[in-house]
Amino acid sequence: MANMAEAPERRPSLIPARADGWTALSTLSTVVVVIALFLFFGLTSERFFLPQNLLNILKQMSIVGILGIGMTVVILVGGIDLSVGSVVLLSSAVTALLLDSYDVAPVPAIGAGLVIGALVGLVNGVLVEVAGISPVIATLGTLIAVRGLGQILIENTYIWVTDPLFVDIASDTIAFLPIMAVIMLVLYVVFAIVLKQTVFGRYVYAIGGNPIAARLSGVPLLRVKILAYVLSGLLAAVAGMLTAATVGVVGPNAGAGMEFNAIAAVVLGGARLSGGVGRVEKTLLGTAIFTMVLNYLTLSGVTAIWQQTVTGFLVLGAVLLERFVQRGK
Amino acid sequence: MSDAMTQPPTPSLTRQDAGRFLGDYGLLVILVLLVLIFNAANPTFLSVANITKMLEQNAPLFIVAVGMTFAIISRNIDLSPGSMIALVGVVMGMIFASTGSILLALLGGFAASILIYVVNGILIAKIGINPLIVTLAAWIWARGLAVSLTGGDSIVIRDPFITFMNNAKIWEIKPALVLIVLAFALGWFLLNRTRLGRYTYAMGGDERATIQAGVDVVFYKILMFAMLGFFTAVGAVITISRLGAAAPDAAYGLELDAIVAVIIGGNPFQGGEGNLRKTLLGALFIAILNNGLSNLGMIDAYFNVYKGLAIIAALLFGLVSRRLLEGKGGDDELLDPVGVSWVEPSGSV
Amino acid sequence: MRPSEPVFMNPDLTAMRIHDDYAPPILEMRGIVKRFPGLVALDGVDLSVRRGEIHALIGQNGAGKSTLMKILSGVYTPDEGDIRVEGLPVSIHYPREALRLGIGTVYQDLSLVPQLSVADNIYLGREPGNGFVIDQTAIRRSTQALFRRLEVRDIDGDERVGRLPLAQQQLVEIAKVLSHEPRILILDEPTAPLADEETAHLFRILRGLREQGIAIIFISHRFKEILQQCDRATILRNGRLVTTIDMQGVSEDELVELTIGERLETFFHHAEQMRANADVVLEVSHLSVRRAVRDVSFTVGRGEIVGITGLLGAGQNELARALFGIQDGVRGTIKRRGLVVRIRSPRQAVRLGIGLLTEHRKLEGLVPDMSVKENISLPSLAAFRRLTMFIHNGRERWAVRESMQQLNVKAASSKVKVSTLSGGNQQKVILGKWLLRDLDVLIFISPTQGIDVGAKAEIYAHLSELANQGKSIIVVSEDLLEILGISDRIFVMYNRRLTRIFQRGEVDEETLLSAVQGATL
Repeated sequence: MANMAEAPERRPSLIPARADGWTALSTLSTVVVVIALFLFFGLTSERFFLPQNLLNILKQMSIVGILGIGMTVVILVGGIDLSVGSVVLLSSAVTALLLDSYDVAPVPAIGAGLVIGALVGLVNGVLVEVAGISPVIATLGTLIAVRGLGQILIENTYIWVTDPLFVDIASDTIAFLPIMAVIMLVLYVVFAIVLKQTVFGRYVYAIGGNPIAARLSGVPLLRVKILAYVLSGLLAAVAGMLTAATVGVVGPNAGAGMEFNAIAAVVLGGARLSGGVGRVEKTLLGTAIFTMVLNYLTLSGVTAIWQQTVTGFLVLGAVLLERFVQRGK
Repeated sequence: MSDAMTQPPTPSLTRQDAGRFLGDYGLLVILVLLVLIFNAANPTFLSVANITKMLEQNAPLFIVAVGMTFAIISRNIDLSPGSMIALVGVVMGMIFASTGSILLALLGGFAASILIYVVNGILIAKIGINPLIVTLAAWIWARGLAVSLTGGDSIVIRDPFITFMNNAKIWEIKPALVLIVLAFALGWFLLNRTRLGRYTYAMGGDERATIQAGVDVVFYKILMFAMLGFFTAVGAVITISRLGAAAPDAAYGLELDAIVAVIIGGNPFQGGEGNLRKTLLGALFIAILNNGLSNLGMIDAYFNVYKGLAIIAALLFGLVSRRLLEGKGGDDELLDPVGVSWVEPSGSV
Repeated sequence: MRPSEPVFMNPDLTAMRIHDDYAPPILEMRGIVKRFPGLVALDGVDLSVRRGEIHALIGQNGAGKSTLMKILSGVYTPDEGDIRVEGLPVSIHYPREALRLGIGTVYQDLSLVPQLSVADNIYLGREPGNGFVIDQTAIRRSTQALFRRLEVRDIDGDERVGRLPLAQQQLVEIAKVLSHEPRILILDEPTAPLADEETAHLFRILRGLREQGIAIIFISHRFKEILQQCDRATILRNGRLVTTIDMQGVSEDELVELTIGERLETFFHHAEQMRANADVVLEVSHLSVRRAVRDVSFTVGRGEIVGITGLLGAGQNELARALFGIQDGVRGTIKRRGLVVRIRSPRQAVRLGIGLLTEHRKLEGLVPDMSVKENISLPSLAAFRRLTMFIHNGRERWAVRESMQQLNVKAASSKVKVSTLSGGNQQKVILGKWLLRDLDVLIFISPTQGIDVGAKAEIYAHLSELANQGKSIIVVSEDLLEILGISDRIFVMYNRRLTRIFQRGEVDEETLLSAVQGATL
């Protein structure tokens, strides 16, 4: 032997099959948790399984679920977007104002709302990736400023959204499924494909997994990361439209605190907060857990004011559980 | 040195000086401008009464910002102080309501606050969960618990202690002002004179090297969070005193103000360095903004926009001064992958 | 802990300087064996160090020097053999135990907190005071005393470590280790980043410590300074002890010979003849890198393997990084196929057909959570697009499979996470990544570091084959055998300059080693 390494840099590896099996198991375990909760809630509450309630859950899921998609993408590239709750307000305020005061047709009004959302995302992306401000701080700044902008637009009062299109979105169904749920599910399918089957999706995982290696492989980091923030803003605007439709009114506190619900859904779905690991499908499961628990509590007569406490502990519990499962491995 | 090539790359002195000046005095200049503007709009702005009122109103912010400085220097974060102040206030209010003893209420509140922070510290330091998640969860559940425990209503506290906190004054100095001074003094002492402070810097600078040097990083991180719990409890005492009641919706958004105060003062978010002088300036900035804007009779909405814009501007400003100070990136550039990929190819074959 | 006492070597030690050769050695390692999966890093090595000497530890890369020192400092535990300190048997399981036994180590990668001051770094973790409140005056005083003893005059104890040049940081690290009052001081290639004058200063300090009776173990590749400064040397080769010699009257040639030993039959796949290199694909003229490379010019031909070697810090790594657009402070011109190009980012480099593989596989080469397939296709995704944004799975899978077979990547499937592969296979994955992209200039930095022998041979074979297919390959390595075995031309860098160029066959290992040491012929 002419040459010997001083020391190998790593210990013998895990058996590949096991490591691969692990990911599958972990997804599976989230599904199992969802099903178990579903059955448990159904069996212990006589109203949980009522079709009306189940559809209700789907509807309740849709707004957080859509925010969760954007949050997943941003978290996957190693960032975070705290401004989405404020984007919900600003985008719905723009649309409501165009409808209400300027008599713009609903479709262009919605388009304007969506563009505003994407623009806020662009600002976030530039602040974080070009100016180099930490994502937590930068999006906290836009959280404050954007909420203020939205409140100025609606002059800190309430604007009713009475357009029939919005009423339909809130109440109509397609083959028993509420339209809102359909919109959410379609978006999930689209983004599952985007992340899994497109070049952009592959880059997202590469950047979150190892930005240095991604850069050395010629991945256009800046473009991909900014686009992630833009998508988050855009999806937040979609959630804003749905919020306006369900509530029927845009008020100064629309969307407040929703960013935390979205993060909670992503975390419950098991994504890694430092990026590179996570899937939108699992965020959907996270949203389901989150919504079912809150729904069950309401059905059981737990007042709405306890729900927030439960949400917080739910997030902590999920993270802790994951940590211990990982250690056990 | 044998030849000039081995000299470390130093940006030109003038540029560095400019950067240092901006970093050290830039915010001060902005502060003075802000004061002048507000004073022009409202001549009573600079009166002693208004200044003490401003400080007193923002006392919880100042005190929480002291703790936040530790969290950020050590490369952690605390999103929970706003919710925790509400919860701790409610705990104090409930104990007072059932025992009638303000002393027990204060003790219970401090104990609860420190205990919760220690648990969070354990989750972060020992179990290794991201501080963002842990304190985010606390942000959610602590507020929720505060609301749930009271059913959303405030608990009125009538006690000579509260009266004392609100009314006692020597000249224009009220207890809240004294507490601000004490908090900064205590924070300064801990940060600069004790192991806790030294390791706060060391953990934020290079945690691996700190562990290698034999520092029990887990213990000191938990200790640091316990201290944050203490400061938060002080903030809660001031908050319930000012309101004369424990309100579950108190101190909403305080965490944002506190984080922003620390960062805007010029303490880098990535930790390892920073000081309380910068935090003091940053907190003053927020306090003046809060007070000045509301004096102008500005509605919350405009208030938020100006505040958000001012914050982003000040952040960018700090960034510019730091860039000037450091010159273009050195060997770290590989670790900051964004820098280079920004440039698109121009010389392709 | 006695933090507030003046912290430095026990003055008694000064009086205890022992010149007697027959005195028991302060450190004795006997029959040390250390095995790693797939290789024996140390095979019955002895090392004996006396009080008050500077003892050099010499050997080629892979000889086992670092492993031996890591055993001594408690990073590794030996599989066999025993260690005696001052005649007493000891076992060292943790770095702390080593420190307690008086063994202090200065590693190549420093462990300082850049934001803390010099003095605070030195006493980090054992600040004087009552255990909570720090006695800052004591820290300052002790640091001053320490620096006085070490004759360090130009470092301010209150300056932040991050603001100091590397050479001074190194002195701080040494001071930090010395403040533990070690009896044995280990220095792992401390002079690599230092300029001549700084090296001289370091040796002045070391001689002072020797006077105080401290034993110094000194790892270096620079024979000149070893001959000048060290008392004795222990030479390792392939994990075995060659000899321990007195430096009195030893010549550089003798050291070279001892280090290399008899020629070993190598497993390199030699090309039968020089590969044609008339067709220039890369031309570098007057390339300089701030603080690292000075005015280097060369060309690389089509289908040629160029080996670049030099001592650690001679500039070869920075040169390679400059060609890939990840090095700051680069001046000079680079031409690809006759056209002047600017390479400012890896993205540009890749578009220009240049790929880089570094020894930091995990950090710079791979996305550990992604599959083998996804890693291999990452730079080439654009080629598998359909409908502008979607990935054509079939074509991707087919191409990746092709590439994995060609390189003989051993993995259960292309879908397993790349982090589960062995080092050699990971390196092949990175290679596959660039081959799939069809780049024609490939730069390798230490391509076989930390890879077991079998995988090494395979990688060499692949390099050869690639060159035969017309790819141009630049290998940067400090492993002379590797460079000799695979290169068509060998560039030697010394002190930031390209000093020698050898053709295949016109140089043997000894000449090359001398050239690396700065011999100008």
